[in-house]
Order: sequence, then structure tokens, then C-alpha cells
Amino acid sequence: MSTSQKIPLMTLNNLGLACGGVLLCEHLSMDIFAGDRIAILGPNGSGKTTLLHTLTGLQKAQSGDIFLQQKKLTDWSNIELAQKLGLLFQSTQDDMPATVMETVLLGRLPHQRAWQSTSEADWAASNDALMKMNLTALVDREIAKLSGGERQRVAIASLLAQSPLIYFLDEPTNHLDISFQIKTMQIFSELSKNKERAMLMATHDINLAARFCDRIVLLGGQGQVIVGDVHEVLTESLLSTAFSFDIRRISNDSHYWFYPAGFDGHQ
Amino acid sequence: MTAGVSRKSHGLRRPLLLLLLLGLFALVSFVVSVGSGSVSIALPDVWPLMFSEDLSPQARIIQEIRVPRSLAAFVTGAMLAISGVMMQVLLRNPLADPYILGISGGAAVGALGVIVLGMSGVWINQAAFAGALLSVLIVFGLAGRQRSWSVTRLLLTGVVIAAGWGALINIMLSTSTDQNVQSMLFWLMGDLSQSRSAFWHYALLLIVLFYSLSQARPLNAMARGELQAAALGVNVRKLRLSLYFCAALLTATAVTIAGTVGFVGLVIPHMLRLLGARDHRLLLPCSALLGGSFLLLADSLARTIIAPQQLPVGVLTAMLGVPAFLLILHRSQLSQSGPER
Repeated sequence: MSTSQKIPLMTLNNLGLACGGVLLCEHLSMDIFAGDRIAILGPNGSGKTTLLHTLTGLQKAQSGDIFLQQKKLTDWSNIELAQKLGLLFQSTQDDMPATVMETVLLGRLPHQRAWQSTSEADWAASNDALMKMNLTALVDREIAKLSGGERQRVAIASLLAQSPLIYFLDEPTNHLDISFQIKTMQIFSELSKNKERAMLMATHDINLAARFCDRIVLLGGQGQVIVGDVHEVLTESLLSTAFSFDIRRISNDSHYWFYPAGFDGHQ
Repeated sequence: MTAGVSRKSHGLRRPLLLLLLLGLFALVSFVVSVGSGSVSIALPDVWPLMFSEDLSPQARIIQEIRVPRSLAAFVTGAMLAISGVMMQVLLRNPLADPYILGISGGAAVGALGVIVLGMSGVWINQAAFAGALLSVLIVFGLAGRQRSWSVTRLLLTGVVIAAGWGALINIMLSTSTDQNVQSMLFWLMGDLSQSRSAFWHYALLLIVLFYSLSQARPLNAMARGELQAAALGVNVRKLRLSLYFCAALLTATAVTIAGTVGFVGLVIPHMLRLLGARDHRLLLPCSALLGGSFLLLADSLARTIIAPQQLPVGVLTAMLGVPAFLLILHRSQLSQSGPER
């Protein structure tokens, strides 16, 4: 896919991030184009979530600029941002009662106006999202009565209903069983490739990133950051350095996997 | 669109029906309230007497005493219930009520201080209102010193300030004459016998209801957490500030009208949520209607239960509210405990 002619959806210019006075990354510059599938990898506390929250405008950058469709992020209104940028949180807050349908419909908020009833498009998008996440049988169920994996699927369905241009996913496969892990990745991957959108996901699953992403942002934890294509960044040496752990690669004819090797076999 | 599209966003199938029923319930409660008292008036006569031109003793009782009192009861209950809805969703705490940030304590210290000084009537109201606003300013001033005040910080500040007011209240109660203590206790428990509502009370109620309804969907998002709401395009800071302000204003006004009537603001929103009205577009107007009706009925009982003596209405709100709430809580647990996992 040629991206040289296209206008980027989002541009990060010399971005610096800090959290609680700790420098997380510096001089991060990259373009995000329609069709991009990008994974953010890095050890605990390296700034994956901070990066996602900064790019969605929930948090201010320490330095540098973010442009969304060539306009500064801070120049967009809250509603416009939510129409274009959607964020799946690492965890959800379920202490107030709500049903599955109510929760998924909330994703339509940026497309709704006060005093206006729920539109055909809202219902259609919500039902489509429920279908994709196999939740149609659970629409009337209380969130509090669901399992962790089901709640994660509800959160994903809500993001799908929101239907933004760029999907920011914070550990999207948390709590999901293996079939829904793959299914979820296929859905976002499909949306990015075929619907002119992009996805940026923070994850701890290197193999999932290798299978479903084209580019990697590898955060080192002490300010250093590496951006590049999957095969450039996902190497034994770069990963082992970033995670301070011996990580090895094995492959068969068509695929490769990374595994932790820094300890002795079965324990 | 597609045939299989599901449209049940509420636990309720007919949200407008609930609103209509509550509207009717409010009307009935109003008539019952106007009809009950130490001079009993048959219910069918109430309506004509409310508008009759001749000034028979019965018509005068109704027009000059009962109707103003009932109007005051309704607006107080409605304000407390709406304020309770706002506090619960903003603090994301089911135990939150209109008084949780110390508003009632501040108002009480104002009102009791004036009683100690031997003044009464209008002064009590104004001192209560001033005390309530002072309390709001103190809580927000302290909790908001850091740029990002958290819900926990706000709650803790409110609870501690309320405890401080409590100490002042106890000092005044324990050092006052018996007669003053009697009127202080009535004020503290909430009492409608001296209450009159003004046009602006209803205007304020409608304005706040209108504004909060325009923010109903963002409020639904706030129930899922402030960050989630912000990610969905809600200007959390602005919404939070404006709603705290509205809730504080409603509570201060309600306390000024009737003293610190408890239980309405805590229990009415929960009752409606348990009945399925969780969407704030429905919950806010329903709370206003049910809160108003509830206080009307409680006040009717307060006037009749040991007539000719009157009880403070706050006693009745708890006596009625506790069993009603427990019943609904119990039934909703039964209906929800279907397929557990």
C-alpha cells in the first residue's frame, strides 16, 4: 500500500511524554495513515497508556505537537475529537447499574444531540456492534452480572458503535478467551484496512502484535522509543533490551513466535 | 431498517408511561395532601374548594394554609430528589445524598444560630441559605485547591466539614433553652408547618430540570466514569462544576423552605433506578415527580397521624421510605437473580 501520497490522519511531532514527573518518552515523531495497524509495546510503566490518553486528548503532552488531519489536537472541540478518536480503556467502571444495550448505546454519544431521540443510525450501529461481539442474546443483562470477558466485549462493542476514524485500544484482549482475542483483532484489522481507518493498540502480547500489526512503537521505559515496521522492531535483541529479559524467536514455514527464554523450562 | 433491530435501551419497555403514571400520582398526592389535616375535608370537595370564590372557613383553610403548604412540600421534595440524582452520579457513590457535602450542616448552623439569637421567621431562612452556601464554598475551596480534584478528595472534605458543623450544632443544642431546643429539633428533622413556597422556587426547579435534561446523555456517560465520559466528548470539568452548582443551589433552597428533610434525596433516585429508570433523560423528571409526591404524602401523615399535634415531616419520610425502599430492593433482587454465573 503506498502511503507517500496520502494525507496522514494523525501526525506526532517531536512528542515528549511524562507521568508523575517521570520521563516516559522523548522525540516521538510519526505519521498515522488510514489503513495503519500499529502496536505499542513496552514494559510495565513505560507509558503505553499515557501515550494513548495523550493522543486522544485526555491528557496534555509534555512537549511537542499532535495534529489530527493537519489541525492541532487542541483546536478541535471535544465532540469532534470523540467523533474521530475512540479509546478502549484498560478497565471499565461498572459501579452504577446499566444494561448491555444502555452501555453500547453510550458509544453513540458523540453523534447525538441534546433533546434528540436515539436515531436509526444509532440503533443500527449499536446492533451491528452487538452482533459482531456475539452479545445479541445479552442485550438486557445487567453489566454487573457479566463475566470479565463479557464486560470487555461490551466495552469493545461500545467502541465499535462509536465508529471513530482511529481506534485506540488499551490492551484490547484483556480477559478475552483465545477465540475472541483473534476475532477482536480481525474486526479492528478489517476496519483499518478496508474502511480507511487506523488502529493503535497497546498490548503485552508480542505475537498478537506480530500477526495483526504493520508497525510497532517500542517504548523502552527510560525515555527511549523505537518506531518501525514489524520486522525491523520485533527482533530478539531489541525486545530483550526493552523488556530486560531474554526473549527468543522460533518459526515454522509461515509464522514466527516470540517466547521468554530467560529461565529454565518447566518449573 | 433491519427487522431484527433491538430497541430496548431501558430496562423499561414504556418509559413515557412511567412518567405519565408519576404525573397522575403527583396530582392525587396533592389532592390528598390538601384534604388531610386536623380539619378533615372529604376528597371530592377538595378540588372545588381550591378554586371557590366564597370564603367559607373550609375554603379559607384550603386556600390560605393547605395549598401553600402542599406547594412547598412538592417543590422541596422535587428539589431534593433531583439534587440526590446529581450527587449520586457525580460522586459515583450510591450513598451520596444532597447533604453529603455538608450543605445541610452549614444551613443548620445558620438557622440554629438565628434561633439562639432569638430571631425567627424570615431570618431563619436567610441564615440557613447563607450557611448552606458558605459550606459549599468551604468544601469546594478546600477540595479544589489542587487543579485536579478527585471525587474521593471532595467526598472526604465534605464529610469532615459536615462533622465540624455537627459539633457546632451540638454545642447550640446542649446550651439552649428547652423551648429553643424544640424548634431547633423540628428544623433539624425537617418541618413544613411554617413553609411557604415562592414563585421563584418553582422557576428554579424548572430551570435546573431543563438544564440537567439537556445534559442527560452526558450524565449517563459520567455514570461510567469521568475518563470514559471525556473520551466520549463530554466536557467533564464544565459539566461537573455546573451540576455541583445546580445541586448545591437546589439543596440550599430546599433546606431553606423546610429544614433538613432527610431520606428523600437518597432514596427516591434509587427507587426509580431499581424500577428501571436509569437513563437520566427519564430519571431526572421522574425523580422530581416522585420526590414531590413522596413529600406530599409524608407531610399529610405528619399532620394527621397524631392530630391535632403535628410531627416533623422528616420523621415520616424515613418511616415511609425505609419499608418502601427495602421492599423494592428485595423484589428487584428476586427478579434479577435469574441465571447467575
